[in-house]
Amino acid sequence: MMTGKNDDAASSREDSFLAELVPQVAEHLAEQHAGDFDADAGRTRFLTWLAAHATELAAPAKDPAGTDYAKSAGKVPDHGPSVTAPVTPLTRGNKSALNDSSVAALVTHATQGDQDAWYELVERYAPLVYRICTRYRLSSNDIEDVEQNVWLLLVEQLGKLREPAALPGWLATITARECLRVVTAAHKTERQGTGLDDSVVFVDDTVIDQEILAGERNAVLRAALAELPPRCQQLLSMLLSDPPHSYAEIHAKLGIPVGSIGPQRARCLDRLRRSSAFAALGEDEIRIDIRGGEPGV
Amino acid sequence: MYDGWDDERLLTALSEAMKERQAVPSWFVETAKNAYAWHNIDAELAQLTYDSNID
Repeated sequence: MMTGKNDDAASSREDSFLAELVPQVAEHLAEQHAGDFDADAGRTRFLTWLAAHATELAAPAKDPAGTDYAKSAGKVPDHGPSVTAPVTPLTRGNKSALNDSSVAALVTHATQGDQDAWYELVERYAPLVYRICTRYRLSSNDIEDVEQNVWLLLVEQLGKLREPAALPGWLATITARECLRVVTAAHKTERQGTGLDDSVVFVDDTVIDQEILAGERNAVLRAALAELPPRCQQLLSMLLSDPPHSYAEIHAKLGIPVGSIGPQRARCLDRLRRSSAFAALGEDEIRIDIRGGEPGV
Repeated sequence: MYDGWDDERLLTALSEAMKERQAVPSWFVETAKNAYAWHNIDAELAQLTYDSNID
């Protein structure tokens, strides 16, 4: 199904993507078969597969924030319209039918091809990856490179993680490593160019450890919040907004009598404490400490 | 250890968690989500390898 035929831009994108990918695939297949491989049959089979996925692969990457996605468009195929929905962690109604929302369960589901599980992992831990990137004071372009590598590595390693529950620590370690690589490379270039020796940001391991703890705690709290009934989510997000809404505004918006807002707030927070996500908080923190050397994969 | 948090402390922590999420640019989240396309491709390539093997 080649839907891009009438569209020159899409066609040329497909062509360049093919030109880059086909030899890689051929090499990959030949390696797998160590000589015992019909290259023509393999190539035909791959092209058939590719044609069946042309729409998905050729879809231009979305550009929600005016960022230049051209370089990543050839690297990471976009899913098309399915991923363009605005991200609203508190009210998203598309939570997948995941009964067990623990990190380990999400990793297992994502390994088995459950895209919603992957999205949920991203929702939870993208902020952790991002906050570590900002610690290294990288530019937007560098951040994009770093995160690209981090997530692609995770996709690759999904089924091989030795301890899926320790994913936050794994992500943080990989992110720190990638950030350091970028920073060090920039530093070298700078020294060769100008002889200046400053502005390198090295971030201490203990800082990264703190970031992991904070990032993990925040992820759990957001997951716990998302578990609450919509009523509680609305009330708490109005109370948590910056600046917080007044009780009068909350009454006007949600119809809760002003005198009931305090008690309802307390009930919602109690529910949050009893949520399964919140219960996991203590356990996960114990298992985070996997840092040092190469992360376990 | 978090069971003992009173309402105010919990609300403060929740507020920080929400702010952390809001600080993340949408392109950052999209890039992360899109990376999953490679999972399907890897899986299908594995199948492709298998199919070629039994020819």
